[in-house]
Amino acid sequence: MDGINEGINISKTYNKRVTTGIDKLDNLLSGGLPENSITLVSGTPGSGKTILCYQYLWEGINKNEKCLFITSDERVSYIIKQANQFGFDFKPFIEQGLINFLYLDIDKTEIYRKVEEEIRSGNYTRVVLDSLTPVSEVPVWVSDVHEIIPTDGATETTKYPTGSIPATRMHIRRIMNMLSKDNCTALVTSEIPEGSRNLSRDTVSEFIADGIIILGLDTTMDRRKLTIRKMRSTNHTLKPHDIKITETGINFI
Amino acid sequence: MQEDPILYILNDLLNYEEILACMVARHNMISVMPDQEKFKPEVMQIWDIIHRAMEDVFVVIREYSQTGLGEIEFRLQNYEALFYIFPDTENALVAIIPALANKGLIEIEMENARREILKIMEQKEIPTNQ
Repeated sequence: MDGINEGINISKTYNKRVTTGIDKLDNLLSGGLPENSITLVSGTPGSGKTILCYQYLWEGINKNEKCLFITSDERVSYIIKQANQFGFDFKPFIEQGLINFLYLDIDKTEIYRKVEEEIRSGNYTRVVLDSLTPVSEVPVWVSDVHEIIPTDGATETTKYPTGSIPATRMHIRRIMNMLSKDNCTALVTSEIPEGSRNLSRDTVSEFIADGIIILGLDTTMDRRKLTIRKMRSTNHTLKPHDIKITETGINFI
Repeated sequence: MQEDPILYILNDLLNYEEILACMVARHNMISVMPDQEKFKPEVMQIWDIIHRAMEDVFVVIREYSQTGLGEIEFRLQNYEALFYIFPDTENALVAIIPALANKGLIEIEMENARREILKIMEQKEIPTNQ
């Protein structure tokens, strides 16, 4: 551990922009996501979170950038198949080494090490974690203020009981720090339960992320909305925008 | 979005002097709303508090819509918010009017608008590509 400044990246300036693959969204974001930022993509099931991530990585591949898709919800083969249905054929680019898919088995305790090693060794500029929710719910053992270790046998400690807000916050900050290393610009998805007023399942990551994009779904009226709720160093509107999901992904109406 | 038939109905409602703002909404989401510039300026001044109150009303709508809840209204400062619920859904047609408005004509127009929107909803198919 680096001591008191661990986790604080004072070199972040957000001058450069990373395009998302959705022109209108880039326009609303003054050119794209701030480089080296982490953006939370939140929404109810079926709202298009994963599709937005596909478009983001597809854009990276087209710019010859190295991309990483970390999945904790679905097996890699299913992700690749689903992406293909939207016209994102990642297979040839896996062979070229432009994109890598990493499945996190959240039952295993080495998930941190696996992600950290992959990001450090892979020289990625675009990373997606889909989704943060199961990873953030892995039982952890907090040892003093510096260590947070996933464990099979998590038990409460007197200082930071498992599941407490400080423990959850430390846990999520640790995950976010892994993603923000080495000039990665990351998207992290989080599920919001139907009817919830929170911006993420864990209720903490929205405060830690540099940006928040909310995807809304109204099945009764057959409407979808995209709202930029927060984006550091970016002058943006808070107004929800009508979107639709087509065979090419998310499109603004 | 101008070709949106529901938006057309809402824009039509805004032609009434005493309908200051209107929309189709549900908890956590305004699904269809005319351009806010078309809302009467006075309602924009208390938009935040009305919007927050609306969110609480939608919790009640979600809870009781299935049992036949048809309408809700509340008065806040000098305004009233009318909720015309679409049967068995979490959605409602919402209008904000002056508290002292003559509601007779407004209620007829709101009911007509609700029925027209229901017809459109029945015609539409929910996409299954997601």
